[in-house]
Amino acid sequence: MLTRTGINVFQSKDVIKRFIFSIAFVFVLCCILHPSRFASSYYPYIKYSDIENELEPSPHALALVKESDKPLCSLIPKELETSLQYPNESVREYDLKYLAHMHNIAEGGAWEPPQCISQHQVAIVIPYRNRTLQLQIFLSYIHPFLQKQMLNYRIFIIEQGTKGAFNRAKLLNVGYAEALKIFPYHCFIFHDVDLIPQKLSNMYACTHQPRHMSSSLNTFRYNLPYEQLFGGAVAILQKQFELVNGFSNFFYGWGGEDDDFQSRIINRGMTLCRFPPDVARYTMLSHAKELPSDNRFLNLRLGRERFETDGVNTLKYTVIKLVYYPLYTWVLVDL
Amino acid sequence: MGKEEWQDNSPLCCCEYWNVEQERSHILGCCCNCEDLDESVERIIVCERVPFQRVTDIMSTFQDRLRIPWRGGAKQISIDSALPIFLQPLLAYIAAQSVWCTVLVSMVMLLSMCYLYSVFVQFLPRTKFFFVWTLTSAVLLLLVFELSVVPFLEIMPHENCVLMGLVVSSGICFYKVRTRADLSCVVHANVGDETELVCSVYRRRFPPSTFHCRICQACVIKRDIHCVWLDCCIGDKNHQLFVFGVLFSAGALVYGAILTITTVCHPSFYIMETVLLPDDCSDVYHDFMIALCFVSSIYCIVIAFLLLILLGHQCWLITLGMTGQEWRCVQGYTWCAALRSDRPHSRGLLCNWKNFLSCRKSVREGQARSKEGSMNSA
Repeated sequence: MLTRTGINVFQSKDVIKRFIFSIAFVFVLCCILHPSRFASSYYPYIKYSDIENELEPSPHALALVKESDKPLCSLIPKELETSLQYPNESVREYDLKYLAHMHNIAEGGAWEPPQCISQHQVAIVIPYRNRTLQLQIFLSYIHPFLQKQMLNYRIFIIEQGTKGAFNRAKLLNVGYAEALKIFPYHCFIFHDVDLIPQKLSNMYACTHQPRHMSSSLNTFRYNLPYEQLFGGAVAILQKQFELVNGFSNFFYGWGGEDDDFQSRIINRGMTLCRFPPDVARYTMLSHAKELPSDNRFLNLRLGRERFETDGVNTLKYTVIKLVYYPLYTWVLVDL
Repeated sequence: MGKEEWQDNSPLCCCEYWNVEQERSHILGCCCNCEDLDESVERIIVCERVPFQRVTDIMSTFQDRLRIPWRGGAKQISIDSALPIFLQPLLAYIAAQSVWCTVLVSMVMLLSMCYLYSVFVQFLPRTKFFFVWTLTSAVLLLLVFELSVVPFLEIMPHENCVLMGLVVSSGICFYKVRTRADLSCVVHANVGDETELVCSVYRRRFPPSTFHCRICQACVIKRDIHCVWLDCCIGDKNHQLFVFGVLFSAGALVYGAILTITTVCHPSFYIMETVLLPDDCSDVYHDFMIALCFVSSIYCIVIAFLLLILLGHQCWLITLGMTGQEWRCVQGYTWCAALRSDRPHSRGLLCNWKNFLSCRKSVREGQARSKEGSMNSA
């Protein structure tokens, strides 16, 4: 009798041990396979066939058509190439001078289609400091690219003149303010100098909602790390940018200002949109990596209270120089 | 007499053990009470020569006290089993410092592995070094992937599932290869008689290709190779699983390496935007964790390359209907020479593959014939 109960106790101990092991195994498996540890796999994006419907044309363009005898360009030009494009990484200074002349680019890096009135009036604002090589490659690639899309555009390079940490967000605010002094652009694209769009179907125009353009970046294996990402290249309408009060002016150093901007947009009831992953393919030009700023998390937390008080309405800066170079409008700023 | 009287004979706790002098000791006491070490240090301080006998005594005490806690008493671990566990992280750390460190460590590791392997085959102590190396590699690579590469948020969930599936399949295959290795061995009445001659008797009758394995100390039916990396013989019952295990592990290594290297380097699309391969790896060594991921993916690629050569060789032998042992007996020792040799057990290309993939039939046949053989010998 004693041995039988002994065996029963032994078996139940074994069963308990197996049970504990299987629970632990399942727990470890759930931790390993949890979706939040990985890139965002199914995020909502605009379907390729819906892109034309989602684009928001400029109301100013219709007025221009009445004045001139040129027709209105179509929202998306026909017969755009669908293959993946790559930048030419060996660009010389001489090639850039030749480029402005060959492509009929007006002074200040502006261009509009000669045969029709474009429905997109875009200001491309690029924050800049000490990336000469990347700028040369970017400019030689982007001008033919944008011209194929039949846009009325101008490229602004906003350079930080003050020494110290780089404040990308404030430079973008400055670019917005300076661009509006030149022309009432209805669409703004805030773009990093080292991003190269690889598909011509990736229209550099604004959609009804603010759009995260660089959703499929080669350094992220062409995946989107998390759905709230809003850095790299974004397209936003002028009225929407004014509504969210632009970027925060306090983010000195690398990191955080794009997440703050995304919070401002969500706070105002707008949603982010993206083009399909195979359309929004970008390649990043290599450069030395920046060290992340220590303050970025603190700034993000405190930034939530500053949406109304910190932005384009409280922007203070001094323009040191403003030059209309052949391929871009250069603004040297003292922040 | 007195010693045995007061010695406590209750069951050992997990950290206790019986040492060489049959005394009950504890792991925590490993640094205490070593007379040989005390005397040697005294001699060194006084600048006297330490006799060689003392050194060997210290080494044997060290080996005796090198134990890990285990249920029913602390288990002794030999130095060659523990070595890979310390050596691999150290080599990975050194290799991740710069490009030249990686190249140097790879050369040193390859050469020393070749040397150790040849030494092992010649002198035949049954060591667990290679098996523990395999286990440590697998664990470290998995840890590097899950704790270093995945947090970059660049791997998709389905890619991770595919990789884990391949890893688990190869793990199951190799586990079964090890557990079924004994089934391929012919159990003999007198263990001491397991020699080449005894196995040659079996070879003349069915089952075919029974050869003696000096390391396993047994006759193995349809002996292919002795796999030191799994520490078992590959014979009749586990050959199919072995080949599938090699296939799955090569696939897992290649896939894991591609995922890792496209995460840490700049990738680019190839073959009509389908395959993502690394393009520019120039700045991987600026950060230690990124360099570690890169080094582990290089290691995966090298191992996968060797495994694919092994897989190709195995497929070639299956096509010819030979086992590895028979191939090694062929004069010339090349892949082409095997084609020209007479292969008594080959039934043609398709039949050989059919026999390999449906191994149950040949097993049953072999079992029936071995029963017949043993009955006849009795």
